[in-house]
Amino acid sequence: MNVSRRRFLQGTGALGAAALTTGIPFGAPLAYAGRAGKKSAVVVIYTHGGFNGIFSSADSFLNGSFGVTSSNIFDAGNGLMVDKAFADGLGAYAKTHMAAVGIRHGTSVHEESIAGFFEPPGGSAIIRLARAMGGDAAIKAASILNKPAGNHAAVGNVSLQQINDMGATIATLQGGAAAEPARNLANRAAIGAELMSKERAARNPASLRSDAEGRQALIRTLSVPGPNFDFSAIPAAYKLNGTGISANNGNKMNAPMAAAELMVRAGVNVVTVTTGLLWDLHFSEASTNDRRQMITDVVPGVQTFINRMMADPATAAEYDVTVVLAGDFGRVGPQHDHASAVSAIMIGPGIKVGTSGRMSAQVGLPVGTPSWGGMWSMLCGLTAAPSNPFGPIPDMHKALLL
Amino acid sequence: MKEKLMYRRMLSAIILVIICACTDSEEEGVASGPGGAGVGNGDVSAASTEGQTNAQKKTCREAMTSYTGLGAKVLVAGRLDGEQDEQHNPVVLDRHRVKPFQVLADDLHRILGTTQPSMDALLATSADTFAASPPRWFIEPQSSAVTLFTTYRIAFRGCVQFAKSEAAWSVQPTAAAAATACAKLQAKAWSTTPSKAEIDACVAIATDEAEFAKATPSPVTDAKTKWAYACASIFESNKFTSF
Repeated sequence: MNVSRRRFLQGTGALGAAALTTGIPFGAPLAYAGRAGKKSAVVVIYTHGGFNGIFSSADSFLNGSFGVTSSNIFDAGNGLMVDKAFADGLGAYAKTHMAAVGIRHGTSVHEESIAGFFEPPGGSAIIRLARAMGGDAAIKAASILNKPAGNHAAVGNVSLQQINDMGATIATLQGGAAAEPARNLANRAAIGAELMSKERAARNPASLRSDAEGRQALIRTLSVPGPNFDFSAIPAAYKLNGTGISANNGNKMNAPMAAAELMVRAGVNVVTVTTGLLWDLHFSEASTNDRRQMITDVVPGVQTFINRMMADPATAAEYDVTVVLAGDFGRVGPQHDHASAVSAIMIGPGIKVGTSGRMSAQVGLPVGTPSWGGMWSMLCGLTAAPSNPFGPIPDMHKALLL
Repeated sequence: MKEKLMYRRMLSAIILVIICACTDSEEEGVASGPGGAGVGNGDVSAASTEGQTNAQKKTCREAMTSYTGLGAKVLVAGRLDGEQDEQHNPVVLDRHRVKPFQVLADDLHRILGTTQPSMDALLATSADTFAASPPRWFIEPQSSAVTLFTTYRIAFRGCVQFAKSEAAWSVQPTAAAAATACAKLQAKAWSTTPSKAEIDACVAIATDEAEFAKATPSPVTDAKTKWAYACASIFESNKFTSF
């Protein structure tokens, strides 16, 4: 039963009342992003340190680099060839709904790459996309495990909320369970606590920013009826013991992807997931470590998410989810050094199989390939947001949209 | 990358020490010893006044020692000042930080008592929620809607237990009684004197009969439970969740 977003919508009146009483600015557009009446969501899986080209442009390395051979490549069609074990692990749906998206950003410095990805010119891409997508969800952007590098200050009622544990998150979303504070009284208390926090918040605009943004997100969450969805069933679907999101809770990406599902079902527009793994993998000439981490630690959780949220017809009738896998840059040469471009993978119902990110054997992308902003613009286009803060979708990316 | 992380943490710790060398108006006039019991007993404010006289009314910014850190950078470089206070001292901004989970837990026990089985049960499973650091490690804590609500849930359990020991909380809250009780608990929990607006916010929760009547699954009628709702809100405030 899919319901979270509908129940959230029912609370619009209460939300408006809360705005009047708390002074929460409701600046985000109320229009609902989504194609064919579905709720759009974007899940960005980021591999800190690098994202090997074998996962998005494997045929570029048939010269013998990175252990690529004609037998370990999957030909998805329309020029897209990816590592076979990667594609097999992601599953049948991904194989027919994926594209590689080129990002020619021009830096081989980790910090610059990470900052550029999440905060391209114009400010936080997460906040801007979540805001453009609009909707009435109390929490519109969430980060699983670690907050992405960058400022990500709230704009209007759109802030980035960090999620570290599913149990506490479910309690916050649903509230009012037995032996817990009643939902309306918890909201009343949250409003009162915000008043008590006003003076110190004003004196600590940067160091307590997460506190101020968290309060507003909490009041918005508690101001509407709790979603009528059994969130507690999600962890078991990912074979987890407990509700923690640590890397050791089951397979390494199962718990984070379970949390991503939880947040998407709760109405969040943009979810970021960091893998908790180190991807700055030098000295792996045959890309053995890249493959092992991706296939063993990442792909199973992502596959479960895709199967449940995208391939399942009932869920797909309600949600329009796009998953992105990307990292700092590709790896280059026998020492697995830093390239200055990356080819991301996008999977979703609005994707036409193909590539705008076919790399050269030297792990470069053609002149004219857009930087990070092009990818975010494409993502925004996929969500059918009422406006696109990243500018027009580059033609080479537009060709990958259905 | 780890080295950079360590460096940033060391830098943060040093800056914090320097920041703590300055006082500001929020803490002046407040005794904040262990237990946080006293409200404005004058010891600290007397010391501050004397200190200001000795420094010939230099501002905190002028009087403080400047330290140079790694890379020959002044550690306070880039620090912002807010508007001047009534004594024309620039108000130092961003000196407060979100409390780590273990500090929250310890402070809750200090204020609400150590015999707290229900509160402890939730505390025991909440470290992940707050992204608590491993032993001998430090990660700058961040608040979120979830951590704040979890703080409220934990404190609510503690306050339900605490209410049993407060004789005055056997009686239904009135505005006058709540003003007294709120001010007392706020001072104890925050180690600073609450303002009238802050007391009023707490009183409004304790006496909001309309909301108590609407509570599900059943209306709240018990006096101690009503007090507990207001009590827990004090711990949800950033005057408790940060330091």
